[in-house]
Amino acid sequence: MDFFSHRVRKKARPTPSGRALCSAAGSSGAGPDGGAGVRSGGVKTGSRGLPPLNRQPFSSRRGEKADSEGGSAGPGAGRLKNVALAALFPCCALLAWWLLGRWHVLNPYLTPPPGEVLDAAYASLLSGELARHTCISLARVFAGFFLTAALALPLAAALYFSPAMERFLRVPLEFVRITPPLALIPLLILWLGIGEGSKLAIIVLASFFPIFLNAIDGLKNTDPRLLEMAETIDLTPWDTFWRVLLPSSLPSVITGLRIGFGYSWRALIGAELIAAAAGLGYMILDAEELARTDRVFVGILVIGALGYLFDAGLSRFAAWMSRRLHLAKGR
Amino acid sequence: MAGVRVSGLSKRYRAGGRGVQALDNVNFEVESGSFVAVVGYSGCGKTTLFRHIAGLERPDSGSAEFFESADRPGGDRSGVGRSSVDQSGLVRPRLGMMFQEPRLLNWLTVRENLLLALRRTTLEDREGAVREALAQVGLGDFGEAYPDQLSGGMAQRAALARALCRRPDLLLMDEPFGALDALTRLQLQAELARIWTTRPMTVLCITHDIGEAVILADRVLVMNAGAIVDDRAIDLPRPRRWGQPAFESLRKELLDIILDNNIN
Ligand SMILES: Nc1ncnc2c1ncn2[C@@H]1O[C@H](COP(=O)(O)OP(=O)(O)O)[C@@H](O)[C@H]1O
Ligand SMILES: [Mg+2]
Repeated sequence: MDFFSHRVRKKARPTPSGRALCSAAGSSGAGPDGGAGVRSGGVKTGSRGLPPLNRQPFSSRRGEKADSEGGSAGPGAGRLKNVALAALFPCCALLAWWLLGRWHVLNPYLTPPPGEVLDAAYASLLSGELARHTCISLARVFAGFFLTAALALPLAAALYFSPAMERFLRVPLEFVRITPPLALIPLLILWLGIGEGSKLAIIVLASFFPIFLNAIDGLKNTDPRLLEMAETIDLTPWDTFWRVLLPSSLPSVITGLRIGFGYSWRALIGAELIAAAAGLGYMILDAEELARTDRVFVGILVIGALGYLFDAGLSRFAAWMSRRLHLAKGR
Repeated sequence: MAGVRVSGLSKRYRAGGRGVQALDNVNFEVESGSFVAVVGYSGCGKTTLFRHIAGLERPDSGSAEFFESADRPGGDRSGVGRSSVDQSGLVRPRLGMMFQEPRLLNWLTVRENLLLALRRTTLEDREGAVREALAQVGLGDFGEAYPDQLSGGMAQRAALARALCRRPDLLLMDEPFGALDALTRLQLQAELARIWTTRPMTVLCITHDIGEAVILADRVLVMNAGAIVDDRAIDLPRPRRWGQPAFESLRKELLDIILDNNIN
């Protein structure tokens, strides 16, 4: 809906038909979601869009100028365009979903319309059930994730420093790496039951290798010229690790953590689908057994959205870290 | 202070399927406290020689060793710069090394880069030593800058400051001013000559600028194809000036030696 308001505003300025477009979109938006957003966009256009409209022929950089004079607090035209572009597909999909439902193309029992899914989300939000399942899944994934990081990062450092250890562990590690974690679920359930233990094990298995391998890669890709320099200033191995190896491999480590988190999340939901009494994966399975497709959709959307949010957060963190460490340019 | 003794040093590299004799039985001795320039065509083995002296490379045969000797008379000791002697009786000089590239840590400020180089020294006033070294190379105001905020020349000066702040007794410099503009180069040459006369240290300096070698060094070693082909004392009085007749004739003489060697 953010997208709609942006697009409407942009369109509204250069062409007088902009308002017509927005009102048309507004009237067609019956869902509480899309409708509200479009309408707010329309209001903005009407009240603020007009003055810059008159000046446009005299302004050479009209997009930017219109933005600032229109008083829309915010990003420049370029960024606006990127946001709009990124939001285009989800919005179109939503619209198509809604329209297909309305035109009775989709079977409402198999694919309930967006409004119904929203109602189901609202209901499970009110009952606290959504929050409970989400919290349980998140708690599992964070516990597993930190456990994995605590295992994989020191092991990566150890293998970097000890070639003998690397040779010793290469075969078993390769064996575990190549085996899909989901293939181990039956065994894990037999060994650890369907409690938290088996779920933690799945997460660790799924996220260990991206974290571990990226960390090793980061360490190995440290500029050997800097390590030589460290040698000429008599730096101890300890200092060399903290001051040279670690900062230089940090971006790679963070990339590994980011990929590992995505893997944990996916593997956990899989594990919860197979054997669990709570969590988002269980919630989906439970809803399916009760033929509550609306709740299945709620589960899927929450899983996807949370995964996306955490990934975006980690990716921003990685970019910030690179800037903070001045790693963009090397010399 | 440490003198350097290189004896029978040889090193062969494999590069692209064929062998390269980077060093071919190199022998020379550098008196403690002297300033020696090493000149020669690129690829003749200068950097390889320095890497062996700095202990970054294992020789195929021969060795580079250090020896402790009496201080140069008149030099200011000020309690720093003494080589340590380990259990096996080998002298380990405090090294100041300047590579062809600055090799600064991008994630530390210039000041932190220098402080890191002092971490394993016994120096008392580290912040003071860092400030002094930065001032000497004209980077007094850039201690808090990050390396990626410096120009190439400034980064190289920061690397010089990092080598100097350690109060080294052996300073190895690999084409230290090659990347600098001509004016900065003259300025830093003068500064280096001044630092060397006020503090005793042995300096080995690779340069492709014969004038720079003549203006700075007591002695010039000419290398060609992995071997020392000429060894010339420069006994011009200090401070030296560009354009002096004695300076110019020495410069021309050395240039001729190098050019002759390439024809052979
Ligand atoms: N690590 C290496 N591997 C292979 N060949 C090398 C290596 N280091 C130097 N060489 C070769 O040794 C020769 C001398 O190199 P170098 O000492 O860097 O020359 P200079 O510093 O005088 O320009 C060159 O031919 C170079 O190709
Ligand atoms: Mg070289």
